[in-house]
Amino acid sequence: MVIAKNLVFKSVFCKCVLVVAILVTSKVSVYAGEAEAYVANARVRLLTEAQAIQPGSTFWVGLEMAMDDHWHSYWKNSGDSGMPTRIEWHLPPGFEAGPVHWPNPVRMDYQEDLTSYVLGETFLLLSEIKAPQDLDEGNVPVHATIKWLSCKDICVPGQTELSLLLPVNEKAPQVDEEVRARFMAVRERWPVFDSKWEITAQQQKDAFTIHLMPPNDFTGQLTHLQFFPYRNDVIDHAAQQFFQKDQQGYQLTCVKSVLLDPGEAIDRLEGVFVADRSWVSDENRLGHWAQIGLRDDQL
Amino acid sequence: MKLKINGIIMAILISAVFSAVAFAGVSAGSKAPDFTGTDSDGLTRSLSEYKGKYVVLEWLNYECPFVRKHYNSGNMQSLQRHYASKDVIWLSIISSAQGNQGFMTPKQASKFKNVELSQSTALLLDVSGTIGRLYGAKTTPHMFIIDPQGTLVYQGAIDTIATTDPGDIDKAQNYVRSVLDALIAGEEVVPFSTKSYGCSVKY
Repeated sequence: MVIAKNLVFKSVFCKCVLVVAILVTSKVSVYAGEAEAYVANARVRLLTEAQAIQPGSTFWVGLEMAMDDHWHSYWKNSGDSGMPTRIEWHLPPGFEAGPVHWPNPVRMDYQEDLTSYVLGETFLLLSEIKAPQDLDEGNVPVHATIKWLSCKDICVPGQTELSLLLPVNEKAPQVDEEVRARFMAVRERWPVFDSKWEITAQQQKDAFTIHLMPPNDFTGQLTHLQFFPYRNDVIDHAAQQFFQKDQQGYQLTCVKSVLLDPGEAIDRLEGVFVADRSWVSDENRLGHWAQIGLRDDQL
Repeated sequence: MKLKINGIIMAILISAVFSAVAFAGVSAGSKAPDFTGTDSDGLTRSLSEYKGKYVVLEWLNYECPFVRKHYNSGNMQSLQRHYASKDVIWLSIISSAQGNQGFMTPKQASKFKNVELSQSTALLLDVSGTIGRLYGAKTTPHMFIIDPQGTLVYQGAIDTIATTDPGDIDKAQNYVRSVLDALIAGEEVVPFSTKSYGCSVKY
């Protein structure tokens, strides 16, 4: 499999080779240059707001997944079953891809004590890509290998290669306004990462008790809450999480996973809380990320 | 006698109350509960008849891509065959309800077991899901390893790479191998669990 990494050359002669190389590799390579595919009951495509790459700049690439009716795919922690969607980037030297930013997960309960964490029928996974300063004229291939699991009542694994080819432009690049608007809308619904909410927790023998204290200027209220941990072996996904209002704010109790021994302490809980109301007044932010340190002397 | 009957009535009442939460689950280190099931040839099999041997329980749904990963590659069958030669009992269990994915009629299961693919000791058809719920089998595959004294030494994933890609089999650490090889060699294995991966069991 030819990975088209070395397409950025310095001389005119090499640019001719570059053109030939693109023609040759697009015939023999699996990376046929398609930005879109329909595989395993999902239409997947790569989108970017950038219409050119400015050396030294960053730009966002989105993987859009549109599942067929009633099909779903999985969040970063898939829960009791399933498999999280994975993106492997194949980028030219000097380029770096940041982590995937996930939308808020949805809890899906099966019968018999099985719960998974899934994503909605259409969503965008965004990653930020940084271009090196030292970048010559030419075209930059941005390839991704996408692997996921599409499920309805049965599951079908999906895998595809998608790519974009972007020109290098020294000047500030033009932007596809429609894609930019879509990306902005997605970002506005990401979990809150930085706020004045105070979130602490204690670990007991069988459960974690999480305390959430809103900031003084919070005028809303939460009436339902679900914690989605990043690790899949800390809480019992299928158990109900007990939510209540208390004097300081809110409290959520999550039953520990059977994979943790009763006396076993962990040092932190990290994940996303998804509420039915916004964590930030005047915005539509239903998710809140938190990394909560835990003491081990509470067991 | 009177006490015993009361005990039975109590047990029935308690199980009725908890029937909505009938997913028992067995934690590593505890005694593996006995069960009885019918295999693909119509024979009755009980866990207790294998006392004194190592027993592997493998939850199976042949249509699940995670199960196919280990069967199409021959990985599962080679494990079954290898450990059969070490006198390990291997029970493949289908807990799919009738009409759900993975369900096999006795005829289909018998063909699967004897002619096509499975090298396990027996293939149990747990249509009611009783054995699955007793053990808390959540995914296919979901592996349980029981020692000759009847203790559950391991339950969880088959290996360390939770994907549907057969190419990952050789890169992964296989828990069934690690645990059985250590136990058979007489090494101490502290009972442990890992997060199993696969499709949900189709009760």
